[in-house]
Amino acid sequence: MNLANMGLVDLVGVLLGFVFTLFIFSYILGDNPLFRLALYIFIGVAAGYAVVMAWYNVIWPQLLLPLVTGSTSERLLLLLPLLLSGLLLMRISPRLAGWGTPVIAYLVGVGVATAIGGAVLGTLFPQVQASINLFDLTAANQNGSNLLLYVMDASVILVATITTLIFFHFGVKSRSVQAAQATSANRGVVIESLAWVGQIFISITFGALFAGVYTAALTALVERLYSSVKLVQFLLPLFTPK
Amino acid sequence: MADVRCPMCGKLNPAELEVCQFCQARLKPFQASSLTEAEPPASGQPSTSKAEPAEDVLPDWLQSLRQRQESLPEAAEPQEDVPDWLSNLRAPAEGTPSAAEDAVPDWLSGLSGDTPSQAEAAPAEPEQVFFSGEESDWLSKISPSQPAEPPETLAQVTPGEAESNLAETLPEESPIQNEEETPEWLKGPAEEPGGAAGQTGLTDWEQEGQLGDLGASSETQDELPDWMAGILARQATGPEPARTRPEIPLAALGAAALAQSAGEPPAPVQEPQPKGVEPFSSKEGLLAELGALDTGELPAWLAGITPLVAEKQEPTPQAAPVESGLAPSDELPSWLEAMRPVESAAILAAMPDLSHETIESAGPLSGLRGVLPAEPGVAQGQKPHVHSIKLQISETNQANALLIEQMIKTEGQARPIVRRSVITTQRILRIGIAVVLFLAVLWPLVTGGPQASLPGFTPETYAANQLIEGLRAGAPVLLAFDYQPGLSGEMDAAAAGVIDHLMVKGAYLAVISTASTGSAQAERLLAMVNQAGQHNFTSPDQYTDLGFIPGGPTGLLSFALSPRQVMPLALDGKSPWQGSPLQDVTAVKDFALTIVITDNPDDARAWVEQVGPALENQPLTMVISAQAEPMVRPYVESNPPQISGLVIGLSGGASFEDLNGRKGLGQTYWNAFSLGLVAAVLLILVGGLFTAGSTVWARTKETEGEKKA
Repeated sequence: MNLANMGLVDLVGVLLGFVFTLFIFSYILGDNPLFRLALYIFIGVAAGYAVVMAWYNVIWPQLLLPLVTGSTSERLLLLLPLLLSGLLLMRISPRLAGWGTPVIAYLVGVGVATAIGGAVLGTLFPQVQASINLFDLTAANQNGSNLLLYVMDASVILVATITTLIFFHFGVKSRSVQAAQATSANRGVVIESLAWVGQIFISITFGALFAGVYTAALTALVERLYSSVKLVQFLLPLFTPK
Repeated sequence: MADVRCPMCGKLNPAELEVCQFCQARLKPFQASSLTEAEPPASGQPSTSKAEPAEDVLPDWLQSLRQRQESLPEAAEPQEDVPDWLSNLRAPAEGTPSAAEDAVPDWLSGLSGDTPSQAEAAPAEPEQVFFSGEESDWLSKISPSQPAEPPETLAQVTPGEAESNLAETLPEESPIQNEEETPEWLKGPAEEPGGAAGQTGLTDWEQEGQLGDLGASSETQDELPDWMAGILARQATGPEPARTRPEIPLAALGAAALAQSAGEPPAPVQEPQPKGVEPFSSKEGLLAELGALDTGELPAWLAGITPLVAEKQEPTPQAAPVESGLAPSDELPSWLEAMRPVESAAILAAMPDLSHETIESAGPLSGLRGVLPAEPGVAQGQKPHVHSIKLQISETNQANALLIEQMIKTEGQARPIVRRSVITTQRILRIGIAVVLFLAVLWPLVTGGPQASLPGFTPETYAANQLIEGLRAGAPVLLAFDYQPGLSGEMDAAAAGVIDHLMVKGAYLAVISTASTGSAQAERLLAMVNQAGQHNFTSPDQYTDLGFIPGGPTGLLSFALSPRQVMPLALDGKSPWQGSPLQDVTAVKDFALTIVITDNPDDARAWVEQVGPALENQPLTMVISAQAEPMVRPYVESNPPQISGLVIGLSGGASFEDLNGRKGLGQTYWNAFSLGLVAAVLLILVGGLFTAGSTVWARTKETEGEKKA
């Protein structure tokens, strides 16, 4: 980013970014008003921008403008979302909140149905199929992979999948069976051993997630420090006597 | 049969029951059972003649007094011998208006108003009323003493028989027998030697009623009071000419009866002598008559009257048989019923000795003695079981309870606030880590410091590069910006190389976002890459911003099925689907490539689940954050892959730029990122070693302390 080619508005934005970056960095010394100020401003700006985006990108062009300039059929079709929107707004008043309940129910029902359908068709079945195809040696030959490494890789993935699923198996024997076999309510030895293996894979996964989070945070730190250095390098000659 | 209301619970019970069928309280007193059994049923009252309607409602004892009054011959009034109070009572009876007569209620006046004329016109009517069935036992027992017959008939009764008959009807321990309570004016006849009154326990009014009968006896005249002796003397001389029957002061009679029912001797009521009937010549005659009644032999005068009564009785369906006895009057007021002297006396006569019984101290029967017999179950006193009030808990529970109690007490006590020191170990450690990281990152940025080798590309990154490389100029590419501003530092560096490559290839970018801030992020990154790559990428010629898709996964699904309807207008307010490279796009599969830039694995999964099936054979490529890689990679490594190409974080962006041979933000940040990553690893190692060393040192110290101990 070349600050010299920036306009005044962009330059002010960069300056504000630098100031708020320092405010955020002040948290190193502990919780302080500067950090809280920056935090509140970010939240407020994000909420305000969301409202503006909802108005200019959704409500006006997709609801109000067609009601004014659209055809009769378009207007009739838009009456239903307009009515539902009005009912949803009644949730603001505690006395009229009940009118918005059907709209909430509709939204929740549609959302859940969409999520379940997508999870089953987009994740569950394809992942099951992928697990089955791990040992497709034909595909390995076509890809030119080493079959031994391919099988080992597939075996590790299969073991990790099965043992991770077993770790979340919390079923126990019935009380009558426990009393007859004089066993405790804990899982069986085999299940417990496989669950312990699954726990190892889960721990590795959490470690990878933490590494990814740390990597993302470190990249953000680099970006902020890079922007600050660039700004200082841009501003420093202005305040340095020639 | 009339029901009886229980005095305890107030419920109705059949009259034949002695105890309440609901609460088992006694309905009939012990002593009254014999009398009540003898009483005839209340129904079937024979009606009397129309000439005397008031006679039906007149109480029995009043009727008897009236009959007795009418049957007695009129005697000259002994003005000199009669006491003052008697003279006062007699005065209104002679027809002179007085205060006593005024005090009589109207209904009582109506009852007594026509009696004199009736007595004169029909001398036999008193006998009709007497046997009309309205008279009760107490009156029937003393009825032989009525002087309705000539004196020679009554004279056949001996004094001894009269005494025995009367003694049967009266209790032996009647309080009236107490001579101390008997007034002087009654003591005379009661104490006469051989007289029956004093020994049989006759009540005062009975004695008084029989005075006229017994007055003829010359044996008692000497001991009688003067006024009574005068009356007897006039009776002995014979009946006087008929005159107007004096009215009985009913108020005085009622008061006398009330006083007698309360166990007190009644006030002497002036009882005029019946006219036209001679008194008994002697007490023996009266007793003989009574004895004849007891043996079932009616005297001659009574035998002659009975058919006449039967003739005058109108047969009614409810009429009780004559042999059942004299039925009590149902029309009698309750208060007047309670004032009946004879029944009260009879009840008292049959009352057993209850002096040993306890007196009820509470309730509606307070003051009565032995009314409520104690039930066996209730009366048997049992010592209640002793229950310990101490909780049966174990010592552990007691200790826990004590602990909780102490905790609650300490909660209520104010504790001084411990001031934290400004500089703590944790704060120093935090500042130290920040300084190390800042120095590690700033050094390459400021000085251009040590150069780190660029990361090698991965197969998924290479696949993404090849997909973009295969795009033709002007090919519509759907570019989704679904990341938050907080992670724009990483996402911009990862996506900058991809966007630069798209601009190099001349693809037409259709920018869209499921985050409200996505459009702003897209505009900023496009402008930055356009400036850094020196492209001339402007909207709407090279790209269009479709804006924000509301609804999350639902909106994504709708957009995948019909993008034109869901996003009819671009962010600039114009339709992007007409006159542009997007005019051929009717579904999401019509895009040559779909690239999703996201930092959230959930958003990545939503795109895979909702849009992926709609893409059919079109590739889906993603630029994701490093923190989302573990969750997204299974979609890349699945067979067949659901994500065709993947660029992961800063390393992916740098490698992608390296593949294109163009330097971008990825490579710019890479040196600082690498050195910062090394510093972080060193900090983790140092921290881990320090923690392990402190732990070992603490255990060693603890072990040494145990050995010393």
